[in-house]
Amino acid sequence: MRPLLHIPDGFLAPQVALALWVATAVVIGIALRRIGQRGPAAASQTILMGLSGSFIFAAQMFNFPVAAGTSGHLLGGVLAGFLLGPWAGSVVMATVIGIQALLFQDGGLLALGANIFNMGVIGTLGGTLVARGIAATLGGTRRATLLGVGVAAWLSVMAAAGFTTLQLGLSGTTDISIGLPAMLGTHVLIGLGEALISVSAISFIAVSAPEIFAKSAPTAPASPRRRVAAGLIITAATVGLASLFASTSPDGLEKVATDLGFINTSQAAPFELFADYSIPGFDGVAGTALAGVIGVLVVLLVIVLLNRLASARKGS
Amino acid sequence: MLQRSSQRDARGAIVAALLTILGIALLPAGSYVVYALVWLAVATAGAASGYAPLTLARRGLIALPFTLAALPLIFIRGDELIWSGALGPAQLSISGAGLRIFLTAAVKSWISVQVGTILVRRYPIESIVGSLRALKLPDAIATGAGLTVRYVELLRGEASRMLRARSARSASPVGETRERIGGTIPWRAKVTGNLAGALFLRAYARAGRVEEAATARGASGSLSLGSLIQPDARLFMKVALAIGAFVAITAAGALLPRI
Amino acid sequence: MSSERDPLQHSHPHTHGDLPAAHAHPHTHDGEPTGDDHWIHIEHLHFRYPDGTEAIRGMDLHIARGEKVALLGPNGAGKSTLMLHLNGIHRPTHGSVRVAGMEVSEKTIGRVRAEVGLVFQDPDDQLFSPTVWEDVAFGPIHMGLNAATVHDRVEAALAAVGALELASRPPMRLSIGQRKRVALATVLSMEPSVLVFDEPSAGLDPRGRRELIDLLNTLSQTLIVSTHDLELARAAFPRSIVVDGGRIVADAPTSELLSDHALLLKHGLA
Ligand SMILES: Nc1ncnc2c1ncn2[C@@H]1O[C@H](COP(=O)(O)OP(=O)(O)OP(=O)(O)O)[C@@H](O)[C@H]1O
Ligand SMILES: [Mg+2]
Repeated sequence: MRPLLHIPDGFLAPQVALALWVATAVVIGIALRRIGQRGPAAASQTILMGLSGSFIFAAQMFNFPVAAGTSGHLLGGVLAGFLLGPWAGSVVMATVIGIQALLFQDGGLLALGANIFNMGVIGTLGGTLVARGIAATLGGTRRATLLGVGVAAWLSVMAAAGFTTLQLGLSGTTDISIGLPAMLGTHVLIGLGEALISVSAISFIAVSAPEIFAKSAPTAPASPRRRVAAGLIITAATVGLASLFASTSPDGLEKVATDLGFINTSQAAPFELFADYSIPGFDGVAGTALAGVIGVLVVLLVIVLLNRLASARKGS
Repeated sequence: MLQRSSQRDARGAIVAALLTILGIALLPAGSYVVYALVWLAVATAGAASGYAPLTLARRGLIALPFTLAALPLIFIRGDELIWSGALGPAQLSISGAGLRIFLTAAVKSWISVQVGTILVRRYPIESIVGSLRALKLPDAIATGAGLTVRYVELLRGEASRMLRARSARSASPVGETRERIGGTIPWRAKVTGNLAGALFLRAYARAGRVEEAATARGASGSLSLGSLIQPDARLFMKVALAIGAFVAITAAGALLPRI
Repeated sequence: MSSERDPLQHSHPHTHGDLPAAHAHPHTHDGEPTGDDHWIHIEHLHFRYPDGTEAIRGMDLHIARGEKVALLGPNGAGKSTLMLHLNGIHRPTHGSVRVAGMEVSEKTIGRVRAEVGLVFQDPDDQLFSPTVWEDVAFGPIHMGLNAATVHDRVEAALAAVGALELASRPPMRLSIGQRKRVALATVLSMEPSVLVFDEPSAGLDPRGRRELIDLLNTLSQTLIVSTHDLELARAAFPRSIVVDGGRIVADAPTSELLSDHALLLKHGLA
């Protein structure tokens, strides 16, 4: 049961792949600037990040038997993000995903932007912010931290699976009405494995090296509002850009639109979340693009609210 | 450990690989003639670098599981029906358009993997990282990637020794003849997480020692690792060739027939 | 292969070739379902690592139940590689390994691991849990024992190595000697019939070493211990085997073997 998240070349429409490359480059660029601000500690930070990349690589070898022939594995995004901080963590994951694509052709080169976006940006950066948000919201105790990590690790796998499917759908190489439930369905369990492994890894570190745990446990974010606002603008811009590109590939988008319409009309419970995607009066290309932007905005809004709540709890 | 070393210049090859993959991606669906030609060219390039086409072709199959994502399209798209009928109790129809999308994605990924394989077999990953730095990959990423590559085998070795220690103690109950694994699934996942936690602490400790070694040698501020490449005198020609290949693929895609 | 080995066999009184007479072990196993006379039965063992290194080049070794054997030999002789076969971590390239009447194979591996407790050379590889207690409990839990039994086993194992007071400590924060003892406890808790220790005395201070010898002398299981520590071999193991270049070059009573200075010199032991 390895996660099916490393998109190979050939499955993404070039427009989708390039748009996600742009989005990824922008976010990683911001991440590099955030890390760069640490000044003299930069060298030691770089070394730790490099070794952490090797660590994630090696840790992905760890597995545990689940049932006849299947086993659980670690992806490591939230783990890296929690231990190194969201920005450094996403840079490390970007590096690992890039080297995997180069060395093992595990994921394509043109699709690398998308893969980094799904696992390194959404999964790691987003996941770590969610973990910290939950931890701080629940009072910042060790237990709250571990809970936050667990939930975020699960979400990071689900989000990566969801984004992967949407990008394939946008490229016209999968049918969303079948692909989405199938991908999310299989990744529910993979995500649980990810959550259990991440939580126990961090709790191991909390027990064996409390000083390292204390360093990575969330402190009050310097300016949560600004950070999230920046992320919001970037993501909205990216999605807009992606939609613009994608609209030149009408085949893919039309398909998505009809698929989503299909989901909306004939399916019940499992797709409730995505039913909101189609807006009355906006059919076809523009409607779907708008729905996508709104979907992302809603996700980001939740992160903002959680962050607000987090800093409020910290203050009192 | 942190010495500068001179690496072969892979810039031309990187540009060529990326342009080829982009060219393949831009090919319209169903251009099977062009796919065959591109594959022929790739296999030839591989053979010229000493890789048996069959080995390369087999290597290309690693993206195969992903075709699962495109598989349903064959059966649920109702357009361009090739065949429709009852298969036992189930009503089944095969869509030509769906089949085309499926095959296109499968073939494109198959060829693209081979292109990537040739690149990394011709140039060690260290020189690819060095060349990417020369291609303006940010310093922090290039250095980090260099370190990651440098220490990945070491940490994989530690990881496999830890796994070995775990399996050495993974016994089935005395008196039990059929194989079974004790403990609950969450417990097993927890043990796996423990391994990951322990490995991180080793990586952390190692990072400390690498840093000490670096400072002992007077490195300060930014580290440059494997950053110097021996500039390739024929770079210009190689890039021109790569662009030529890209144009040829694109033109062939536009001109040759599709099915 | 044998051409390299023959000179050794003829030049020394304690060679493997002479062994059967000196070391016959007509041991019975109180009704145990062994198909042969020996608890550990290795024949024509060859092993090559994936990189091509021939670490074991033809070994025959028979060990009776309850016997205490020291494995001696220079660095790189093949001691650790041999030990990893006893527990099924490595599988023979040629030849066979039988433990407790079972051919070591995919089918028997779970039961073999219940019979053979393997303690690695480096305790850091052995220990992977956040607390000593959890680490010692890993084997018993994996064997599917109930919670009460697990508790008793862990307590007994920790008590046996004198590490009860370390139970709640993280293994990573223990001293080398403490970690070595805990590593031992992690297999004692599985109550195997064979204990295999790779260099248990390395890194121990004199007192730790004395305590280790006392502990080894209290164990009733079949013991196979690799060591560079000749005094340890003398103090706790009646039988010694010298391995060099992937072959068994001598197998004799320890006192006899250790008095053969030429042999020791030849194989880097003195
Ligand atoms: N993983 C491996 N891959 C390749 N060769 C190996 C590996 N492990 C050990 N070897 C080689 O196999 C031979 C036997 O090694 P082994 O570790 O068994 O020796 P040893 O007797 O335990 O030595 P020491 O006293 O140093 O622990 C050596 O030549 C060693 O280099
Ligand atoms: Mg050894």
